[in-house]
Amino acid sequence: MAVKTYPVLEEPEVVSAYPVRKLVLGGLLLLVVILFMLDVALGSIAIPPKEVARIILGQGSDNAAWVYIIQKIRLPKAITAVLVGCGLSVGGLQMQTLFRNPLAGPSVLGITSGASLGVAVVMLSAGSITSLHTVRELGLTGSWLIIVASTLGAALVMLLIVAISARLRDNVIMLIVGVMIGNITISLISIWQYFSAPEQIKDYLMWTFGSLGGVTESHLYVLASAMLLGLAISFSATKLLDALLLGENYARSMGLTVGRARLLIIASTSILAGSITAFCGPIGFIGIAVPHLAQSLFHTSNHRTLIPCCCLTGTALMLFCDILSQMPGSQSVLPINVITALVGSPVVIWIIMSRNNLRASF
Amino acid sequence: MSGALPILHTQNLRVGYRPNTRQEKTVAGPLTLNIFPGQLICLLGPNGAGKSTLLRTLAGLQPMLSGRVKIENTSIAALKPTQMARKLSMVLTDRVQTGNLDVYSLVSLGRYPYTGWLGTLSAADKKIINWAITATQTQAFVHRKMDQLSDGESQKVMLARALAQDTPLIIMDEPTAHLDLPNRIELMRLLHQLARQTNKAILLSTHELDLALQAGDQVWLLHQDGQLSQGVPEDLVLNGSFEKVFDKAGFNFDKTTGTFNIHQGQGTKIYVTGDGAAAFWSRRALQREGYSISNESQAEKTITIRKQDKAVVWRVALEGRHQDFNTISELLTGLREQNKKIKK
Repeated sequence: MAVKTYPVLEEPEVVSAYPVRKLVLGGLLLLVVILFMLDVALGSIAIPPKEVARIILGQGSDNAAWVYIIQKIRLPKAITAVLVGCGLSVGGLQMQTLFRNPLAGPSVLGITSGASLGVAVVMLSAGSITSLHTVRELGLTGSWLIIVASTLGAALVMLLIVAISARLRDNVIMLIVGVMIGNITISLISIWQYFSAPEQIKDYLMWTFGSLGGVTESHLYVLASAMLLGLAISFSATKLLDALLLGENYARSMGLTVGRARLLIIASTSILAGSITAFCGPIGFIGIAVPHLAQSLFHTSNHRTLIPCCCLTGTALMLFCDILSQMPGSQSVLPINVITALVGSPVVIWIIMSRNNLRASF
Repeated sequence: MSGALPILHTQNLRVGYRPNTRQEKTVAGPLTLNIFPGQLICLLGPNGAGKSTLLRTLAGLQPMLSGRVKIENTSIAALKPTQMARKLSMVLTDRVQTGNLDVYSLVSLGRYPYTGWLGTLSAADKKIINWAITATQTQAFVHRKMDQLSDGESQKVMLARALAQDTPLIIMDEPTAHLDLPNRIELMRLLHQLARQTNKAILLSTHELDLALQAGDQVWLLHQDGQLSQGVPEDLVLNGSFEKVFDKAGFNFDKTTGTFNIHQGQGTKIYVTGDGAAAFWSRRALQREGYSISNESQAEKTITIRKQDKAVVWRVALEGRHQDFNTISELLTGLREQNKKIKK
C-alpha cells in the first residue's frame, strides 16, 4: 500500500465558541442556584429570606415550625424538582436521538402513559388494601414496587414503539402512532378505573395531576438512586448516542451494535421516566422542550456536552415551574402538570415555527 | 494490479431477501467479484436491478443468501462490527437529519471504531480528521452546521467522514444522485484522485453512465436478471454489454459516442460531412428531427459543413442544387420547407 501522508491542517477554531459556551454555562449554573433558593424561600407561609438561608446552611432557627417546613417539605420538594428536571430532560434527549424525531419525548410517545399503566396496575389492582396513600406509607418496599411497575410499563410502551418505528420512516406518522399507543394505555386505565372503588379513583386522579410535594424524605433516596442509575447509563452511552445521530445504517457501518445500543437507551429512558412518573405523576412537556432549549443555548449535538446541559436547563425550568405552581403570595397550589404544559407548549410551538422543515431537523 | 491481494473477494455470492423462513427472493448472483487496492469501481444497472441490495450485502448491513464475502482475506461473517468498520466505510443515501451537527463533529464521528467508550479523540485521530477534511476540500465550511450545506457540500462532508474512518474500502450508494452536473463531475474527479493517491478502493453505484465510463477503472454492470458483467468500461462498450443491459424499446446505446440515443433513426438517410463540434451537434439536431445519420455519401441528402470567415456554413445539396444556412435553426427550417415542396 502506498504510504499515506496526512498534511497537518490547523486545528479548527471551534475554540472561539468555547468562551461563549462557558459564559452560558456559568449563567445557567447561577440561575439554577438562584431558582433553587427562591423555590425554597417562597411558599404559602412567608419565611424571611435570611432565616431560609440560615436553615438551609444548617444553622437552625428559633422558629421550629419554619425549620420543619423548610427541612421536611420545601427542601425535599426542591430537590425533587431538580431530579425530575434532570431525568425527564435527559430521557427526552435520548428519545429524540433514538427516534431521530424532534418531537419525541416521554409524554408524547406514550412513555408516561405506559408508566401510568404500571402505576394504575399497582394502585387499582390491589383492591381495597392499597391506595396511593398506603403505598406511600409503605415506605421503601412500597416505593420500589411502584417504581418497578412504572418502569416496566414505560419500557413496554417503548419496546412497542421501537418495534413499530423499525417499519416506519416518517417522523410525523411515528408521532401519530405514539399518540395512539398513549390513547390505548389511557383507555386501559379507564376500564380499570371503571371497576375500581371511588376512593382509589380519586387517589389515582390526584396522582395524574402531578405533584412534586408527595415525595417524602425516604422516597427521595429511592428516586435519587433511580435517577443516578438512569443518568449513569445515559452518560455511558454518549458515544452510542452520537453515532445514532447519523441514523441506524450509518451507526451500524461505523461498528455500532444497534440492538444493544437501543436496549441500553430504552433501559435508561424507562428508568428515568418511569420512576419520575411513579412518584410525581405524568409530567408533560419538560422532556420534549428542554433538549431543544439546551441545543439552542449551547449549539452542539455532542451528547457528552448535551447531557449535562440538559440536566442544568431542565433543572432551571422545573424549579421555575414549581415556583409558579405555588403561586407566591397565595395559599393555593396549582398542579405541576398544568404549569409545565403552560410553559412547555409554547416552546414546542416555537420549535415547529422556527424550523420550517420539521422532518429534516432537530 | 492483479498481482496484489484483493481487498474484497466474493465467491458464488447470492444477494436478495428472505421474506420469511421458507422463501428466498434472489436479486442477483451467483457473483464472483474482486476489488483491488486503488481501483474506482462503478456499479451500473437499471432501476430495480439490485444495486443497493448488492452494496448493502457487501457491507454486511444485510445478510447474504449464500456464498462468501471476504475482506482482506477474512470472511465478513467472522468480523466483529468494529473490526468490520475498520475495513469498510460507507456513504449512504440516507440523509443526515441532525441539523445541529457541525461538519467537524460529523467528520470526527468517522473515528468511532477507533476511540474508547467515551469517544475521546487522540492527536492521531485529529490528524486523520484534518487530512480527510483537506483531501475533500471541505475546510471552508468546517464550522458550519449540516443544515447550512448544499447537497454537493454535504456529500463531500459525508465522504470526508468515510475517509476519516480510514478503511481500505469505501462503498458509496449513489453519491451523485442529488447533485447538479458540475458537482457530479467534481465529486467523480475527487474520487478518482483519492483512489489513485491513497490506494484505497472505492465502489460506487451510479446512474451517471457518462461519468462512470470516464472515471471508473472497472465497471460492474448489473443486469435485470441478476447477472453481472464486469470489466474495463471501454471493453464493455465494445462487446455490447451496455446495449444488452439497458435494452429497452425506444432508445439505443450508441457505441461511437458512448451515449444513449433517445431518437430512433428510422427516417430519411442523411450524410453529414465535416468535423469538430459543429458536425457533432448537427448530427444530434438532425436525429431529433427524425433523420437517420448515414455513413455513406450515397445517402438521400448530404450536408456539408464548412468554415467560412470564422463562421460556420451548412450547405445542403439536393438534386444538383444547393442552399446555404448560417445556423442549425435555419438549416432545420430549410430542410422542412424542402420536404414540403417534395411532397407537393
